[in-house]
Amino acid sequence: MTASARSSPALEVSGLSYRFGALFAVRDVSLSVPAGARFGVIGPNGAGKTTLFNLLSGELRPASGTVRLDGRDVTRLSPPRRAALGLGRTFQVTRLFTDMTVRENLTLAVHGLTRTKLQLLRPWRTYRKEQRRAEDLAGSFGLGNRLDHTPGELSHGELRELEVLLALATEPTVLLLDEPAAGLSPAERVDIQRLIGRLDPSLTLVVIEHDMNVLREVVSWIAVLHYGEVVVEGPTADVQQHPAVREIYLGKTGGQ
Amino acid sequence: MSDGGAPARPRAAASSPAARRALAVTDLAAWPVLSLAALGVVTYFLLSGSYLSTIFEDVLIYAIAAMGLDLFGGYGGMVSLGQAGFIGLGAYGVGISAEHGFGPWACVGIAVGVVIGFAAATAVVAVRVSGITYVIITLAIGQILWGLSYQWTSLTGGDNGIPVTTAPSVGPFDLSDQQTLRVATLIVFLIVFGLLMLIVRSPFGLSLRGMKSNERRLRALGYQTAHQRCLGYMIASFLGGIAGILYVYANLLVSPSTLEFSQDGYLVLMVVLGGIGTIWGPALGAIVIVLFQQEVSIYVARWQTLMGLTFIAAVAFKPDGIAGLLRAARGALHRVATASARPTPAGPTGPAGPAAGSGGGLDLPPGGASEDQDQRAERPSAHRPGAL
Repeated sequence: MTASARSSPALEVSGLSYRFGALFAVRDVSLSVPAGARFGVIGPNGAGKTTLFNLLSGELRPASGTVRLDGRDVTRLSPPRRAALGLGRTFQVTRLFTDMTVRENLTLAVHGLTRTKLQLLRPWRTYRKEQRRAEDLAGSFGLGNRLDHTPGELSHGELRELEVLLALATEPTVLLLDEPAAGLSPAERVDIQRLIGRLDPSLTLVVIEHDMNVLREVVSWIAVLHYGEVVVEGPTADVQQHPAVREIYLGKTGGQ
Repeated sequence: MSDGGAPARPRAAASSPAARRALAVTDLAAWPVLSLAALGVVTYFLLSGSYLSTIFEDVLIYAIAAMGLDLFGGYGGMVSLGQAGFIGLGAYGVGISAEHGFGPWACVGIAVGVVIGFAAATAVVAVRVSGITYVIITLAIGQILWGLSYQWTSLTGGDNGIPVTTAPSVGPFDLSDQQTLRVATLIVFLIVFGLLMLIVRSPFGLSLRGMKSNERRLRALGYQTAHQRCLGYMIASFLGGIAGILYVYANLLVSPSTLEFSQDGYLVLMVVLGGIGTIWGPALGAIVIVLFQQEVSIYVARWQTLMGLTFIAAVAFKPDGIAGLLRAARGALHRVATASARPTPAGPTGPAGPAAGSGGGLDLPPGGASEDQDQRAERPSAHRPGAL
C-alpha cells in the first residue's frame, strides 16, 4: 500500500527470456508497471502469457533477464518469498484447495503471510481476527453464504471469484490475474469485471487475457505479446487500433 | 469435537424442531460417550492382568506410531514406509545405551536424541521429494536401519537383539513394573492423541491439508512448504521414536524384527484400515491389526492371507476405513431420524441452514446425506498407500 509513493516501478521486467528446448516461450521481454497501474497483457493462445506470469511469480527461473519488485531484484527468489514481498497471483486453471471449505481456503490464505501459520496447538477457528478477515473477504464479494461449502458445490463464476479472493487475502501490493474470466459466461464476466473494478486503487494490477473485450474494461495500458515477444505496448485505446494487433487477431491471410 | 480430516459440509436440515434438537443432542453426546466407552474398554483389558493386557499395550504403542504416520501421511499426503525404522531407533537407542551402562533416564534421553537427530538429518528427503518417490525413499531409509540392526552385531547384538531390564522410575512409580508401565503407556497415548487432535485443527494442520491438496497454490500464498514438510516429518518421526521407547520397556527386548519391513506395512495398514486423515481412525486400526496378529493367528494359520483379503476389501469398498464406516452409520441414523420426523415435506429450516454454526467454533462431525460428498472429498489423495 505504501508503494505508490516510491520512485521505482512496482514491477519491472528487463530482458526476460525463457525457453522450452529450442522454442522461446518468452523472448527479451521488458516491461515497467508503475504503482497503482491497471496493466493488461494480451496475446493469442500460446503467446507466452502464462509463462511470463510464471516467471514473474517465481515458479519458473528465466534463462536471462531480471524481475524487480518495488526496485528490489527478486529474480532468484522462490514463489513464497515473492509472496512475502507483496506479490499475489491467480491461476488460469482454477487452483483451489478442492477438498476444503471456502472458509478453510480463505483461512489458509489469510494465514499465509503471518507467523501463525506454523502455530501447532491453537485451533485456527479461534483466531478471531483472521476469521473475521476471511468472512469479510467472502462477504464483500458475494461468497458470504458459501463459507461452509466446498469448491465442488460452487458455480464456475464463484470459483473464479474465490480464485481472486485467495490472492487478495495475502494483501498483495502487486496482483497478477491470469485470465480471471476464463470459461465464464457473459453475465459472470460482468461480475468478475465488477470485482476487479472494486479493487483498492493503490493495488498494482497486471491482468492476462486473450479476449480484448474483457481486458479493455479493466485496464488502461496494454502490452501485446506474440510468439513470446512484446510487439506493441501503449494505452488501451491506441493498442486496440494498432494494425499489428488487428493482424495478430484477425490473421495475416484476412487481406484487410 | 470437530472432524479436522474432512471438510465441513452443509448438514441436512432436520424437518421438525424436536427432531433437530434430538439430533443435536446425540451429535454432541455421541463423541464423548463413544470415546469414553472405547477408553473404558481399552483400560479394562489393559489392566486386566490377563494376556490381553500385553495385547492392548501393543495396541497403544503402535497406535502412537500410526497416528504420527497419519499426521504427515493422511493430512500432508506424505505416506512413509519407514515409520518402523523410528520405532527401531527409539528402541535400540534405549537398548544400546543401557548396554553401555547408562542409567534408565539417560537411556531415554539418548534415545530421544538419536531419534530427533536422525529425523533432522533425513528431513531433507521430506523436503525434496513427494508422492511415490517419498514412499520409496522412506522405505529405503527404513531398510537401511533394519540392515544395520541386523548386521552391526557388535553394537546391536544382531539377530539376538538386546535385552532391556530396567525401566526408569517416575517419582514413586517404577516403570519396570509392567502394570505401572501400562498406565504410563495409556497416559502417553492420551497426551499424544490430544496433541495431535489439536495439531490437525491448528493453522499448521490446515496447511498440511493444503499442501496435500494443492502445494503450488499454497506456495503462491506465501507458504514455504519446506517448513511444513520438515515440521510434519519431525513430529511423525518423533512419535515413532516415542513408540519405540515404550516398546522396548514393554517387550524387554529389541531385535531386528522390531523394524523389519512387515512392521512398516502393518503401520500403513493401521492408518488405511482405520481411516486415513482422522488421527483416531489409525488408533482403531491398531486394535484391528494387533488383534489380527496376536489373536486370529491362533485360530487361523493363514491369518496373513485373511488380513490381506480384509485389506483389499477395505480399500475396494470402504477406502476411508473404519472411520468412514462409523460416519456412514451415523449418516444412516440421521436419515432414519429425519425420515421418521417428517410428516410434511417442507418443514421450517430456521437457523439450521447451511450457514448456521459457521460463526461459532462448534463444528459437529459430518452426517446426514453427505457421505457421497464425503467420499468425493477424500478420494483425491493420490498417495493412498493401497495403490501400492
